[in-house]
Amino acid sequence: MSVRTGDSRAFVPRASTRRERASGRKENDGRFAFWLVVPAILVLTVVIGYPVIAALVRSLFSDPIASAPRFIGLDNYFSALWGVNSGKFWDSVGVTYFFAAVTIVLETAIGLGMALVMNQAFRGRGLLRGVVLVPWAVPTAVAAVLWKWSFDPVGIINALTGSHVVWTGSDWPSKAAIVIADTWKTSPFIALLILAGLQIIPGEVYEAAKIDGAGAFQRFRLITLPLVRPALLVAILFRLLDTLRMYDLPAILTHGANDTTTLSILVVQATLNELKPGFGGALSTLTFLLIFVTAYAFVRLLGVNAVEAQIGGGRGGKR
Amino acid sequence: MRRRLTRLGMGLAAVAAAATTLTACGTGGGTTGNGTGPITFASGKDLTGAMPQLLAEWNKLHPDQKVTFIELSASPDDQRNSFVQDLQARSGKYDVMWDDVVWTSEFAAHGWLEPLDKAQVGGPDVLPAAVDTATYQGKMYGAPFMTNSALLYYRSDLVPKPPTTWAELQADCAIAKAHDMACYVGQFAQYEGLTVNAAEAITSAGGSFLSPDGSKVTVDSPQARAGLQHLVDMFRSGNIPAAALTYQEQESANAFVTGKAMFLANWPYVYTAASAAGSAVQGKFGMAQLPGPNGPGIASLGGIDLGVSAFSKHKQTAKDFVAWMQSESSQRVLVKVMNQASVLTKLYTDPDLTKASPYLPTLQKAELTAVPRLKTPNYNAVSLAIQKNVYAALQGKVSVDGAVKQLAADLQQAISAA
Amino acid sequence: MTTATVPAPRTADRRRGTTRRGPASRWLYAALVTIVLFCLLPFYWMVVTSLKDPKEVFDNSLVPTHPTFLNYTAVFGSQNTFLLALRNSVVIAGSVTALALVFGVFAAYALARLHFRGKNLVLGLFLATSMFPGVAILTPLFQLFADLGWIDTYQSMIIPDISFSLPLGIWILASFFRAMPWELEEAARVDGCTKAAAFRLVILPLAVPGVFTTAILVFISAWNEFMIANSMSQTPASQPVTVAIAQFSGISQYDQPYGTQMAAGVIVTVPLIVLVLIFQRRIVSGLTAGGVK
Repeated sequence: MSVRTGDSRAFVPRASTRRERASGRKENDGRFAFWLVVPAILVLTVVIGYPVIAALVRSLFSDPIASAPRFIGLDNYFSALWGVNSGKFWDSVGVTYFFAAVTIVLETAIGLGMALVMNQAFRGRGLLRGVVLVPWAVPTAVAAVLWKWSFDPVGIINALTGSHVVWTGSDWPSKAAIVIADTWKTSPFIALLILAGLQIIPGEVYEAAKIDGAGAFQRFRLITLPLVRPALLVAILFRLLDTLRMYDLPAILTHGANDTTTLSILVVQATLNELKPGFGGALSTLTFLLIFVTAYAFVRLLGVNAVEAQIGGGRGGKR
Repeated sequence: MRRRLTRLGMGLAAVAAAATTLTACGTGGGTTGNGTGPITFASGKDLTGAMPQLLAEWNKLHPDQKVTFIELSASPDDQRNSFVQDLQARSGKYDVMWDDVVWTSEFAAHGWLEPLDKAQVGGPDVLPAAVDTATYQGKMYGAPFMTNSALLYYRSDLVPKPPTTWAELQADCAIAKAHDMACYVGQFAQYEGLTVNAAEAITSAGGSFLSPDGSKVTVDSPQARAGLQHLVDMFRSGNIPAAALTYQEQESANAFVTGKAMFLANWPYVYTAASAAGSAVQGKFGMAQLPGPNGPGIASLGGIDLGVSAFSKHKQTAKDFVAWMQSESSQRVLVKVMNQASVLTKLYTDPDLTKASPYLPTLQKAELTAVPRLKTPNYNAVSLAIQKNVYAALQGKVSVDGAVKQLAADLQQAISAA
Repeated sequence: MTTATVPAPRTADRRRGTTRRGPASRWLYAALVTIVLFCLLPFYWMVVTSLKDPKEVFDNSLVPTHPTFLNYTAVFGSQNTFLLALRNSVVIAGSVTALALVFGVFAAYALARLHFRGKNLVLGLFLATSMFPGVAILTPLFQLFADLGWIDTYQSMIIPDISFSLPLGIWILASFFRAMPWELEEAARVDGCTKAAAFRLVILPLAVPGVFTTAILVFISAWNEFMIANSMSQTPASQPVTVAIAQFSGISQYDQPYGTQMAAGVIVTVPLIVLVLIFQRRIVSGLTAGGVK
């Protein structure tokens, strides 16, 4: 299933044609490219490589209160995985993956629905695109405060529904509040990604299917879904990476209470509040490994190839 | 990394050395001169705007030892993070820190605070309980600056006299029901305030979390169960509304001031809002000691100690400054302008001050019996364990017995972590 | 094996010919109204709350009965050093954007245009860095900055922000560059331009929109960052708006600061919304190129 689509022509309103790289390429690109790419790599090494290694090293040491840290090997990892802190750690893993799964399913469903609607022709589509971007533009910290206020026991949600749910006072309502807030903020964004995928499906394909007697649902299942799948999967992959790092929303909305302590909150708690940089380093390393493994599994299982997508199906052509 | 660790070790050794050699001018190793010079003072958000004026006083008196005011977040957690991060870096950016009473032990255990002279900042005119909060392993590591203990706010128009026992409190709740309002609110969200409220219930019932020196877990007792049971029953009967599970100081005060709750347990500061124009309870409320099982309960002691950073470059000035902040003239500003409670015993009965804050004598009574919250270098982990387990019991997720057992296990883990 | 970068060509708007009539379009409009309400209602509630008197905040009326700018004056009052926070946000997000663009443009150009060994590896590396959980770098950088005395300074937030903004910038820029009609450069060379002149006269003007779009997206992502800023900033002197809002206190110590927080939220969000409405087409194409948040 490999649909070759044109590459992005954001500003050049010309017919999309898949273009091989311009000819006249010389073999000494290598050195020039090296000098272009190296600064960015160096910067990332400093801001990411160094801290990650430092955290890894620090995680092999203990966190005593009034003496120098001792080398303790992998004890911090053992304590998180099956030792005294394992309860906390696995709870957070569960919470984090729960949020990831639920928000992604909801956001994808709602986003797909929105995209299908927005793909129809009507006046004011541009304006609608702007409207849909509003939730995305609201800073997460502001969105969290807004939803915290809406979910207050005397807030608007209870007033409108006539209920007296204490949203942030027990487990499931707290989780629901976070899911709702995240869904509001991110579904429109997913819708835009899917919409972009929808817009490259030529109308003729649908016309042909209609003539062949395919109903609306069949057209959706047999044409829309397969053709939009790549855009959808990339969107889901990015959301997956985002939700597994979720911090702002639960940190502000519930402070991690009521079983909403995500992995990121746990790491910040351990390092900044409990003053355990060693244990915190172990937690952050584990968090990273989990995210990496999850993303890798996702790519392998579903065959999303974001890197290849980036290369625009080029793979450098023929050497 | 390795080098940093050795440096850390050396730094701690230097601190230890500094703490043991009491030089004449009180400066530790490494600082030059006589330890006087400009300093910084970091506090939580100053909502009254009075702090700069107070500091301007000091600066007038000591032009060559000026103090610079650094205002941190309003949230205690964020304040603590700021201090901890600076202290870990040993930067000495904050010479004098505003320490919540529960941080003093922790900071002292890490070797981050300079020991102070008890004669200077812990004299007989200072509330003994406040002196106790600043004492760790027999030495004082902070100058008590303000103190705080919770009081019971009650609707004097609805209840003839404030309840002194839990049984009376529950009986009064019928009045609240008749008026279609919540009976009792406090701070029951899962945060530091829950530790305060839980400690009040448990110590009033004669229980405790840890032994006085913080070395043993003592929570697994019938008394502690009885204290927790009281709160659980209040929630179960609806006398504490379920919404209180989300209440911090602000929300609970709001419920009372807007006339939605009949009783409120909170710090004295609510007096100002409750008696202000536009408050639904203006002139209709009183303040009393918290009720207990068989008479007035035991309040948790809050408040602020001023600590001098072990990494300060001008320790002598810093020490003089914290002593000055404890002096009567400064403390009067604290009570009059900042609406906080002083650490000086005599200011509770001062006619000039009781006119503005009529609750001072009641507060003094509460403070005489108040117990400091736990003194342990692992306070944060201890408090988190208390919050988690008490919260689960209040929600009805676990039985009181189960919560106490689990809490005992969690506390054991928290205090043995080193 | 496909591409994530899909065009939103202007021509597509008219793809389906005329607007349809009949029952289907009624459903369509119902669906459109639903979408608009879904996206705007919470924001509307933020605006309404911000216009209410603190005394009225809890009455939950859907329109402000006595609209007042009290909360807005409170936001800029002495209590909350909000102007300072706005300035901090502009400085931090602006610096991050500038840095990410400078380093990003070169790297993206190489990735989009040049052919070199290990290109996939480099691309994979940039992709991997964009996966990094912020918490993984927070603590060590914190220790480092603390040792340097940098806590509570702009650089303590700008440097960590680079970790997500640079990969993001490279990602979006590369997809823009790949889509540019580089043949025109060749054509200009044939017409006798020097390489530099060809670049300046042909390529640069074409690249500006893409770079500009990337700048907006990176700026928004840095402007909205909360976790790093919340840990690194300690005083109003360096706090950006996101942290300032989360830590707001009300007009007085005893108010619940919701009204003030909402007013601040409106102030912070409106410029972003204006940006979004003006440049929505570009932002969408940039977003779909980068698949970013």
